[in-house]
Amino acid sequence: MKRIFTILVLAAMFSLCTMAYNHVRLVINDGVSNPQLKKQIEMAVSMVLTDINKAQEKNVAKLELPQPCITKEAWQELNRLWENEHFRCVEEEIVERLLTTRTGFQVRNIPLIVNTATQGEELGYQEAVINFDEHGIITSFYYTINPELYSKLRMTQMSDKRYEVTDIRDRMMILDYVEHFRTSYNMKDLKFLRQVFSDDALIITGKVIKVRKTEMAPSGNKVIYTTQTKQQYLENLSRAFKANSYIKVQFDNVMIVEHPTIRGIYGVTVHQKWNTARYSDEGYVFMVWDFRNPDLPQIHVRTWQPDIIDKTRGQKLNPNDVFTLGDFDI
Amino acid sequence: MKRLLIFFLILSAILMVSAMDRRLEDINAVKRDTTYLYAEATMKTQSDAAKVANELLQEEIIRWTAEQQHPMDSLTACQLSLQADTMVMRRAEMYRVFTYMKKDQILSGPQKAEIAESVEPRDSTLLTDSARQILFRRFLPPRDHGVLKKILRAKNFFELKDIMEPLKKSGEITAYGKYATIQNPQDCYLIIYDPAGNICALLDKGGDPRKNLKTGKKETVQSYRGCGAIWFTLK
Repeated sequence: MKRIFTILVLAAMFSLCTMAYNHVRLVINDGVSNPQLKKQIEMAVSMVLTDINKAQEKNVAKLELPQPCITKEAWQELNRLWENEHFRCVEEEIVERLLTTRTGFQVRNIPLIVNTATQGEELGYQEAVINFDEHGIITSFYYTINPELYSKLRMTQMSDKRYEVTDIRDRMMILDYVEHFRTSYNMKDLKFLRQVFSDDALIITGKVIKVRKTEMAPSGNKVIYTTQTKQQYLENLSRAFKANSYIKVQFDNVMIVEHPTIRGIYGVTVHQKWNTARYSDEGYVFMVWDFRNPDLPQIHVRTWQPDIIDKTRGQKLNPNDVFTLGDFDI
Repeated sequence: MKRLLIFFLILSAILMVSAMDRRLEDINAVKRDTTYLYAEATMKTQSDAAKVANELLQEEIIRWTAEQQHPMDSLTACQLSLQADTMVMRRAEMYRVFTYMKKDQILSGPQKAEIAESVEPRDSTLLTDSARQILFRRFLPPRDHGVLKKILRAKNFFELKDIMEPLKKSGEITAYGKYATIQNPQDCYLIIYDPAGNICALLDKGGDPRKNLKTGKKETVQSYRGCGAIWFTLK
């Protein structure tokens, strides 16, 4: 009896163990008519995700990914992300549409479970987006913004009807860069951030301070703003990256408005949640993005404002006080 | 005994994982099947995910019907999306809601025969104004008279917006929304409308069967299968 019981328990545990790392298969159900391209993309994603799962199971420090499927730059970016966060795809089969982008193709909604790289603390569920060139080679791998927002922003107008971004390719291009920008914080990718901020970028940060209660500040709290140059901002960011084992940045409530007179300039407002092991905050980030050179988009302005002015009273920042394009001379 | 408990715990874990795998297989089977339209969302709560998935399905219906040269307005897409089937599964701490329907079902429109068989014909125009007032006194708690009276004036879905929004702004209605977003059904009144947008019932809050405040009769929500519904709560 004891022997039978032991065999049964071992068999059950073996079943569980074999589920620990799984092979992943991508199936594209729509969006591509070329069967060879379809096969190439399915194979590339299947191999990369399976290798990532293997690496997560073995807790390796560096990803070794199949070279023909992924560009060197994309592999380096993935490893930068891997240095800070490990992740795995828990679903054996992913069925998704292939979207067409300005530079190639894209697959979204890749389900991942993310852990910190050092202590293995689970950070939760995340979705990834994978981009391909016209030959089906992986060119990038990012975390997505909130999927509801992406779908709504992609398919319908964005924010202010007067300045809606009507061209779907423009919308996808902007959202893709916003996703890349967001993932760069998780990756601690100072190189990308240095490139994306223009040299004369204006960085404004808001801070809540206590003041005497007045009509203008009835709660006794007020937001003051300080400015930094790109250099100062990146130096401070570099210190934050070194001091923290992981940086988890999430964007939601994305709003995008095109400049009323200058084509290619957009105001992007996101609600940002910033989390590290020792600190977290939430606030509104407003950016002025310049897409006049679509191969090298740049941020000219970045502002951050806390979304709660008075925690004890639950007083929130007045939405009318959130920075917009109209606050800056472009 | 202890050994048996450990064995059953491990077995439960395996069965749970198998159930999830089966659900995933079912979802992927629908996604591969080109006769379906679908949408999905993964969010922190099931109700949020259901709400978003439903809205995305409506957009997908509008997009696909436009491609088929049978463009559809958002109201009809909304009504159709309420007939969609749903599968729910967990993804770590999140809920994944997958909603889908057959393309044939979209092009052929709602099941008119189903409405005729399952619903007793009701024609609110048969009630005179004085008869409606008698119904109110008999069936409604006094504090609700004014608000519900205003809502009962609406004859179709299109008139509702002009009635609901001011009531919401004045605080007489605390919340309202599409049926797919309902969270606590027992606390909500239900406005039922047929696929043509005609309002056929105002169901009192509580469990099934509910009072139809138009007629005073007790009815179930199921008896309005094929219709759309708006829920609302009063202060």
